[in-house]
Amino acid sequence: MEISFLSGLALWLRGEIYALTGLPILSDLALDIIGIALLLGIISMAAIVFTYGERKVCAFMQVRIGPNRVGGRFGLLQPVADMLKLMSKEDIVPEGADKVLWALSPALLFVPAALVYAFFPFDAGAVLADVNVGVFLLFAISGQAVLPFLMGGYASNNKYSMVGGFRVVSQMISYEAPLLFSLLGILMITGSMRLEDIVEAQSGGLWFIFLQPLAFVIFLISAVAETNRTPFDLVEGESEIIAGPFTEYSGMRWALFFLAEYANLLTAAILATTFFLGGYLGPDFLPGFVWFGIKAVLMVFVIMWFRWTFPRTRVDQILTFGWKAMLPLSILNVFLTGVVMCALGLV
Amino acid sequence: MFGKGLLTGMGVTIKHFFGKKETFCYPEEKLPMAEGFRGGDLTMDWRVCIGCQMCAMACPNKALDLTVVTDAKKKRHMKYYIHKTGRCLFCNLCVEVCPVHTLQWDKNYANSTWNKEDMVHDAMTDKDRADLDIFLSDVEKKAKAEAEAKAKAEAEAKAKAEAEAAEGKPETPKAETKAAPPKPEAKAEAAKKPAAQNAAPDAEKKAAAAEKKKGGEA
Amino acid sequence: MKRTETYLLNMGPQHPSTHGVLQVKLTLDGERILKAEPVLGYLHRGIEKLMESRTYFQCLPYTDRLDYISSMNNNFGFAMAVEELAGIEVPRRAEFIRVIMAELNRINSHLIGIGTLANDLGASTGMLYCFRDREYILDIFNEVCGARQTFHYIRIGGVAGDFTDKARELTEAFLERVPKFLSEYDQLLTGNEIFTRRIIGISAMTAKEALDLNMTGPNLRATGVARDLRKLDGYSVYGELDFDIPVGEHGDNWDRYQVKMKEMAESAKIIRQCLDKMPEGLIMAKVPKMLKPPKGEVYSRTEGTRGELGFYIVSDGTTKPYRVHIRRPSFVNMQGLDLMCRGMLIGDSVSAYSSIDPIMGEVDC
Repeated sequence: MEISFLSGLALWLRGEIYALTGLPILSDLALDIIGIALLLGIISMAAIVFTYGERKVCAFMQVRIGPNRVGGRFGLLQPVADMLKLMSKEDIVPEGADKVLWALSPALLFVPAALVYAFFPFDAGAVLADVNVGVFLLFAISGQAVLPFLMGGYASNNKYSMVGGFRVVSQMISYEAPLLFSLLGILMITGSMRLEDIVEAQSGGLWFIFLQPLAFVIFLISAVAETNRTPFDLVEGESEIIAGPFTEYSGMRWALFFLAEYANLLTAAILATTFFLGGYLGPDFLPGFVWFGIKAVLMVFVIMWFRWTFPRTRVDQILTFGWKAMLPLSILNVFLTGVVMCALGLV
Repeated sequence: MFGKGLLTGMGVTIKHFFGKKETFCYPEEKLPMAEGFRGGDLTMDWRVCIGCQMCAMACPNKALDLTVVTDAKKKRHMKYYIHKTGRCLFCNLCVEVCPVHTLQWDKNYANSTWNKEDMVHDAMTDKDRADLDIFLSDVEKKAKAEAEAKAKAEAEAKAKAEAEAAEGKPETPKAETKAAPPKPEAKAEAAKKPAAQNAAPDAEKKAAAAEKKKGGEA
Repeated sequence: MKRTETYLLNMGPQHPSTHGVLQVKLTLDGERILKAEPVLGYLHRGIEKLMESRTYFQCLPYTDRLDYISSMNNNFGFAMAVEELAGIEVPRRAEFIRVIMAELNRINSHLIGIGTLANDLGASTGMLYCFRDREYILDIFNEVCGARQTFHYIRIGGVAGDFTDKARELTEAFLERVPKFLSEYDQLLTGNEIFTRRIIGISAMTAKEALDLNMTGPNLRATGVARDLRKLDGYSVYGELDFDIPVGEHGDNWDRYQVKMKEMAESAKIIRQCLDKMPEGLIMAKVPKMLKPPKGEVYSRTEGTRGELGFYIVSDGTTKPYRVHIRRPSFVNMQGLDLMCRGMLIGDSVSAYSSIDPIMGEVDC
């Protein structure tokens, strides 16, 4: 296996700890803990950076300046101020709420959003859980995110939340199918479900975005729908149902929803990077994880760009579009991939 | 058809993403206010004001609460000019109706308050009121002195007339012109207070300015 | 046993998209609207009653607060009614200035209508662009009358201040901007497939329905009835000006949106003509300080930004009106809400509100 900067660092660390303690289990454990801590750090950092980024992108596209009060001219400390505000807010539990479900919902939403990070290859060899059915496991876990939304919507004892909860179920289930089907073509070409294999298959600049452009478009649309962002932000649909399942949440509970939303956003960007943009691959003058970061941030920007340009679709349109356009197209893509592979004698 | 409109829309937003921004950092940079901008609190100069209360009468919403005092010379002066910004419609009717054009907007539109009770503004400051008190007492003294002088002059005139009558050559108009010049009175005034010699507003203003200067020096 | 139930959803009065304090009780079957019942009165200030205890001059600032987006048109309507009652002849220059202001305000109001429609459909960038361009109009208003919102500029007998050279400069600069920003909205919104799909064919209304509900303004014209009081009555100097009345076909949200977009271009045309034709002269007629119109009554109507804006004034010969009734177009148009919402989805209800474009200050008066 190729050794990159990150995996080399991990190997060195493991060797040092082993030399210090003489226990291989301990060194593995220490390394895992460090890895988990790093991932959680990435997620919370992403949330902090993206809130700032989102506000600035939004402002710039709307010919505004954006945050410019806290932390100098560019408002760099704005996310910190936001965080402090959220932490100091009163925690209000609505009357008649199902308190257990209500409290569980934000936590449960955050778990799958954070868990999928274990499978991402940030650099060659730098993956926390290197499983050979990575893709499968990843989507199995992220599919769990539907339930907490519904729980939150149901438990809030609020009609807006309930409508939002219903919407999220129909929407996320509808778009799970085209999302997976759009990736099927890639899995057929690489013949592996290990994410690192998929990245390595794109070496030499032959990224899957060029081989599977239709799949990329379908993936991008479905991923935006899965992360509940405009034009598919029906779940929060501010002008219709206020904030959907989050309507009654405040303070840190709401912040957890928020964190999960940005974690999901980054997940979508990372998936697009990994599957279509060659992951950590790139010219040698920069280490792999930097390339990875650049591509992921670029994808995040594109998704934000969508959000601040497009209006919101309607609930019947989104479902019609998902089942009648996205799914057939993604199946067509799988079919075409198969035909071409057959024709080229790759099977 | 499908997708083209979305892409042009994205083109518009990305153009503005890199383009010039229309907003500015508000408290540091402010929009230039037009000349006739109506906003903020009302300001007025009590030295110019004639206390006619036309502004309060023109107000559609009774936003002006005025207290007027009358000095010894039967002239009206503003004592409290309370502008209830919470009731004000900012319709400009009071400003337009002012016969001496002393009522003006201060154009300081950032006049939010924490509670409703604070939404009042007195165009007369405490300093103004102190000045007004001094002015009023001056006027009173002046009026007294005038009255005295008048009485004296009258008495003199009477005495003279009597004397002339005694002489047998009545020249009443001449005598009156002689008596009318307020020489002694003016002297008395000057001795008491150099300021507030004249009732004309300009001179008053000057005097007040001089007084203020004195106060500052002290 | 399987069973479905309808439920009641309160949209407003505190809701991100109900335009002020409108409360709509939606009876819903899942996402589908069975009935929409607007609940009014949260912003009622009793302006009609207040006017009875004010002199005619003092009434004018209150009309600013009716439809606070288009104060100029309200000033215009009330001033015209009082002038008709008292028989005051307005100088010609003042008439032109009035028309310029009314049309600028129409653009202003339509910008807000379109912007809030975009915002309610989730495209907040569209709204910000509309508000950006609205600022240029407010600058002109600020220049001529010193206020950016409640203008109190068009007075009984004329206008409050002259249309200065600087104002003319600003207006001409703004007129140059109009086609630019209209094409930008076309790129961002009109051509956007998501946007068009959200509004084409939604909340459609036939001409008969609209007339039965007494709707006026862009909402009526979208159904294909070319009824515009500016053309019909030709009041003020509108009779001398050349402009078209844009009409729609199907009376759906798309047509209402298109009518507003086209009306902005027409208003710009009117302003251009007025700037060219405006004579020199007085801006204020001789109006007595104590205005005592003769005993009688008057109903004077103008084309406000949202429809027919009528002022019915009864005078008892004193300085104060005996009774004022205001025909507020937003209020009357609100009747169409139920019809527009029925059978639509929750997401469409917000676009129906925005396309009726009610201003709650006017609805509740």
